[in-house]
Amino acid sequence: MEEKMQQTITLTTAALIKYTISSVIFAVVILVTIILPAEYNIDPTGIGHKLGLTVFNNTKATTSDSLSSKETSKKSADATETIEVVVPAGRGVEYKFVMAQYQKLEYEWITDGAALYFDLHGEPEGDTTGYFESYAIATLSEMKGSFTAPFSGVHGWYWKNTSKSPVTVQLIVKGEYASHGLK
Amino acid sequence: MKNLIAALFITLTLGTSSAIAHSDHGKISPKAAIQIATKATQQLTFKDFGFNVGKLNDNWKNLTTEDFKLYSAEANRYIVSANNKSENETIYFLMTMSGEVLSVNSKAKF
Repeated sequence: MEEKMQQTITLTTAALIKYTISSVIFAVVILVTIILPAEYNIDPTGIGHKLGLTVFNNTKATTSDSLSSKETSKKSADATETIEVVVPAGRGVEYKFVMAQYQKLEYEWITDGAALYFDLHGEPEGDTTGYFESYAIATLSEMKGSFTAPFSGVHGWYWKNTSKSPVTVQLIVKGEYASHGLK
Repeated sequence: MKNLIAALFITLTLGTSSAIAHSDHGKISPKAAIQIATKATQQLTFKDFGFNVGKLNDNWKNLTTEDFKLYSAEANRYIVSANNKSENETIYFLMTMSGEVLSVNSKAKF
């Protein structure tokens, strides 16, 4: 007959302290090697860089170094610019920014009246096929956000006014771009 | 029971480290509050948002960053002032610590 044995696992106070200390050490290691490099670009060990965790914090510096066009450096990334665009009744208007790859633009736009259909998109530099990539499509009277250009080219909005009155858009932007205007 | 307590403690310790990493989200700095007031001033020259000041005149568009000051920072709100020298007028923005503009008036009393 098989003898059943009951095993009792006892966790002593010493073992509990040992597990607590080891878990705290583990948490500190994760904090220093992963969380701080990824969230705050603080990487005292260099492991975060080797794991690629600092890539998002370094994007801006890398982009500035690799720009082939000198004119983009003339623009201050901290400067805010306010632009007003009139979208005639029943018509569509495109307003674009010339941006290099990985440059970032923060934006906020509002209309003085009706909501507008829009397509925020980018078109690659030198492309003749008509290809474009949409970042956001909706019908709104205001929007706030940011985007990072996935490729060099022109990036911006197509607004379409389906109402019977002209609508003015006030666009406030801050970021890196060479120039902007109606397309 | 001790195993359960140990497991719970380890989970809480690890959970706390990620909570610390995100603890600053949602709270803006005084500098960011001034930037929001600067942008809000531009928007108030464009249309009336229903605040006490209504739609501002076009000469408010000419204000620079130097015209905006942190008037007060309390436990859960910022008040930023905007001084229009050409009109000799000052308006005040009441905003939450996360940057939402709640009210705009010319008396700094909210």
